[in-house]
Amino acid sequence: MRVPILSLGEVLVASIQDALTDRGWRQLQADLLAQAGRRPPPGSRRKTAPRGVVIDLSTMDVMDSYATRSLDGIARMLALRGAETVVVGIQPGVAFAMAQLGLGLASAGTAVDLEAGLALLAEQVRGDGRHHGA
Amino acid sequence: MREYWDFYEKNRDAVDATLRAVVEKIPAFAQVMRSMSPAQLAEQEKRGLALQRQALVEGNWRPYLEDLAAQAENFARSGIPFSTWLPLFTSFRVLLRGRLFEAYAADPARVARILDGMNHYLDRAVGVLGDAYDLAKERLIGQQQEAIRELSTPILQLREGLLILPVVGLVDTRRARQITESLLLRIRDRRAELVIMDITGVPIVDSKVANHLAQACEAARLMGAQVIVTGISPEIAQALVTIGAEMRGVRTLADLQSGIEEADRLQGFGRSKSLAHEAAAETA
Amino acid sequence: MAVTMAPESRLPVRDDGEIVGARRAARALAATLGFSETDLTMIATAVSEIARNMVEYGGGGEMTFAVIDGDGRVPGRRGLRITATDHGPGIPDVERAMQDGYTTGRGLGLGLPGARRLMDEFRVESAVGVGTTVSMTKWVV
Ligand SMILES: Nc1ncnc2c1ncn2[C@@H]1O[C@H](COP(=O)(O)OP(=O)(O)O)[C@@H](O)[C@H]1O
Ligand SMILES: [Mg+2]
Repeated sequence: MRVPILSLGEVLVASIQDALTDRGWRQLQADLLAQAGRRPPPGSRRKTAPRGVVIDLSTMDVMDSYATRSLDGIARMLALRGAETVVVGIQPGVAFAMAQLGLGLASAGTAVDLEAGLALLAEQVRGDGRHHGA
Repeated sequence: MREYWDFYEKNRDAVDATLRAVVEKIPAFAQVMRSMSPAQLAEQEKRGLALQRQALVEGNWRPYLEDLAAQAENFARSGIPFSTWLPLFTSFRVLLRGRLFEAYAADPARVARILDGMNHYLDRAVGVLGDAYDLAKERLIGQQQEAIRELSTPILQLREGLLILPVVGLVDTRRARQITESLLLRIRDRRAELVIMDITGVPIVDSKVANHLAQACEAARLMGAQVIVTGISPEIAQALVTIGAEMRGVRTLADLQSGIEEADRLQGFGRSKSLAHEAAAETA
Repeated sequence: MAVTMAPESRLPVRDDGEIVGARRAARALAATLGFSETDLTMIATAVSEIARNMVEYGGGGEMTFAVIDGDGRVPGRRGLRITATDHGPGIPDVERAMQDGYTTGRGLGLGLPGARRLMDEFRVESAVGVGTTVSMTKWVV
């Protein structure tokens, strides 16, 4: 199953709906990388390639080390393509279990929900914002 | 066992009548009995008997012991001490033994077998009862401690997006979990982006506590909130570095005032509107 | 002397799809025991880590989920015990494998030590050339 990716101006939003298989993660990675670097066709209102990506995990009930490593890897690859990643919506129980495992998301920003994530990206893209990354 | 059961069955009516009289003289039990209707009492008695039969005749003890444990937990919860039960068991032993000697005076071997059966049965029951009491007590104490802990860790919202969490008292694994869980829920519900965790009131910060705090900060970070830990005394700073538990990756500041100043800066509040400024004006 | 009682279920874990199946099964069974929401997530996460190891290093294996009733004292304390068995190459140095950050693959080396932190009881038995069994238990408070 493929993760739908929404384009909101300069930002891409990917909402992961369910537990992803390994192939699902690779697909998401390929899709985001392809879209993040793509300039809009001539004549579009938007002139630049997407500068930010929000990955919404609000419906995920488990983030294990494999998923976290995949996600962090995607954020690092997106950074090489000039796009910032913000992960949003990690639920309290999931955050608790991740911290106990010793997992962090060093390469991505984090925000409590989509709205906060978009605000954080707007700040970062403007370049005057604080960094939520460690 | 079987022989004991048969003997008990034969004498049950008489023994139970006498036991009931004993029970009624123990105020705590009498109260429980009065709180139940005769129909309820009869029902419970029937059930207990069936379970006992299953244990003693079929050798299937589990349902009986479970039922006993559940009842014991109820008694323990309603504050009836374990010792209240002992006269009941003693009376039972004495009663049945008397009848046994009367019935089989001529057959001491049989008396001995039935006595062994009775003692085995009673020892098992008393053992389960005692353990269930211990467990119920432990649970009760645990729940009370939990309630006290929850009361003792308030999480306040200072302004939009900013929470303050003063931690007071000892932090063990259980409490660390409780604090972290309530903090994470609050972050989501209040959509907080910044948390000041003030540990001025935590007397001991060893590597374990430091670890718990670092985990709480990391979990909060994953939810999108940055945590600033304040209130690390000179002594604690020395201790943490000495044992190599410096909470790397956690933003720490000397005192709450510095934490609030930092929050003002991070949230982009100018001097006039800042909380730090207001606080300073108040103390001036 | 813990007494195990039904329901007990057994699932093969051979690929990533079955890893997801195993953690769903664990969560569903645990939910019937009255674990808190955070506990359910902790259990599912530990299962995911151990199942992943079986697929990644153990050549696939099998997981059983059993409700435990009684922790050797009183019938009444309930828990979930998960046992993962594979017949892969085994772990030569279990103590080392249990350390944070140790990996022989490309992982983060947090699966075994992390699962131990997430559960109440945790044991690894492994013999080189024979296989690995991880058993872990979580108690309802
Ligand atoms: N079922 C298994 N069979 C063989 N080796 C295993 C198994 N589980 C774990 N290991 C070994 O233990 C190491 C540590 O495992 P783990 O802590 O999960 O970290 P990771 O999976 O990231 O390597 C693995 O790299 C592997 O060498
Ligand atoms: Mg692993």
